[in-house]
Amino acid sequence: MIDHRYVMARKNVSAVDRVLLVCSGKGGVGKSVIASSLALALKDLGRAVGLLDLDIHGPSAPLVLGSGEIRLAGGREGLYPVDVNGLKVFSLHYYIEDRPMPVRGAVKESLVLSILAELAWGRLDYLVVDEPPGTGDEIIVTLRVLGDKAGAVLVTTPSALSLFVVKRLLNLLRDEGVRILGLVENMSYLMYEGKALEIFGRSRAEELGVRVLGRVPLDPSLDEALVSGMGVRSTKLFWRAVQEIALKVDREWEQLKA
Amino acid sequence: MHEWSIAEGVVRTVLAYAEERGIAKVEEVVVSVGELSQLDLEIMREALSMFSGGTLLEGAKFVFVIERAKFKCSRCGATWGFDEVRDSVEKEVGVRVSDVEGGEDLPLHYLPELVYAYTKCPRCGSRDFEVVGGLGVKIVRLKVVEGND
Repeated sequence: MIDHRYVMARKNVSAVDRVLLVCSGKGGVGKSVIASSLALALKDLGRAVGLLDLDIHGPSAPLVLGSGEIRLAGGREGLYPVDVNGLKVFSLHYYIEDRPMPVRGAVKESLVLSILAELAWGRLDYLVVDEPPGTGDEIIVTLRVLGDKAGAVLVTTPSALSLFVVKRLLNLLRDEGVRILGLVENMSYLMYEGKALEIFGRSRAEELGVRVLGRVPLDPSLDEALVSGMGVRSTKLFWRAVQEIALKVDREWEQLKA
Repeated sequence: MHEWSIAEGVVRTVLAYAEERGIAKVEEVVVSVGELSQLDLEIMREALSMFSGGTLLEGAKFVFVIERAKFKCSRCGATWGFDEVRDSVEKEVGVRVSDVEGGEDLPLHYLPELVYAYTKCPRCGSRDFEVVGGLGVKIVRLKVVEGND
């Protein structure tokens, strides 16, 4: 018998227009910061946005969003996402706080499916999904349920190692027929005395044969913005780069719709 | 109260299955309910009956089989049930989910897999354990009347 959670999960996104998968084959490239920031920037463009932090082992969206006091609520439709200043958010962090989540294999697959089946998103222009690194259960189950509505934003750093691993994810997404919206090169350069220093090596973003949505600089003010709770909007270089990417993503999707 | 969304998922899934196979009527649906999901079976029954109205499932009998939660430690081999850790889990879970219709639930009610974050082996303290039963809801058996074709 088919698992009834697939029916629940598809119903939950029936009023979601676009699913934006923010993913990278590699860990540590700043994918979660990009995903959460992109969600904020799309909201600032006047879109109704949800953010699904699907990083089971290392959920971190609440740190980026600085959500503070939150209230978890549920009802007949399932779990309701947390409202963070108008952004609808789900992150396991709200439920497990600092506890480890040592699930693997079939249980992890089941947890991802349960999350998708339980979250009642309501009407959204964008559901931004922060995928963990790699090509494991999280992205496979997401594609199974949300693949038809999904477009992918790949995140990498200039490092050859990162690009090498991102290629594998790109191949998976292409095989599964996912629309590739483009590539974000994070930590691309550092502005120093008016010059862009490529401290992680020269940009290789073009080598992947995917449209480059933007190059996000290393911004020393980012960490302080997160720790202090000021949020990513208080940075200058980082936030400006993310806003430009959000605009491109939004325009591209509008064109595809047309 | 998310029994309602689960019930809708169950009914729509059985309907799709039955329609695909040209089944004329579904007489009985056996549903396994994991202990950890802490579902209210009366609400489930009411919701299942409501969603079945006017479909191939109208009047079907819904049988619930409770699957007790069982845990097995991969480190020391200990086995235990939810009753043995229930108090410590309830204490460990810092957050509750408010039901918009009143009351509050443990997050396990919605996401039973979260038990992996909320408990440890009661004998050796390891988090390396398996839940070998009792997680969620499963449709396990149908009794149907076949169609003519």
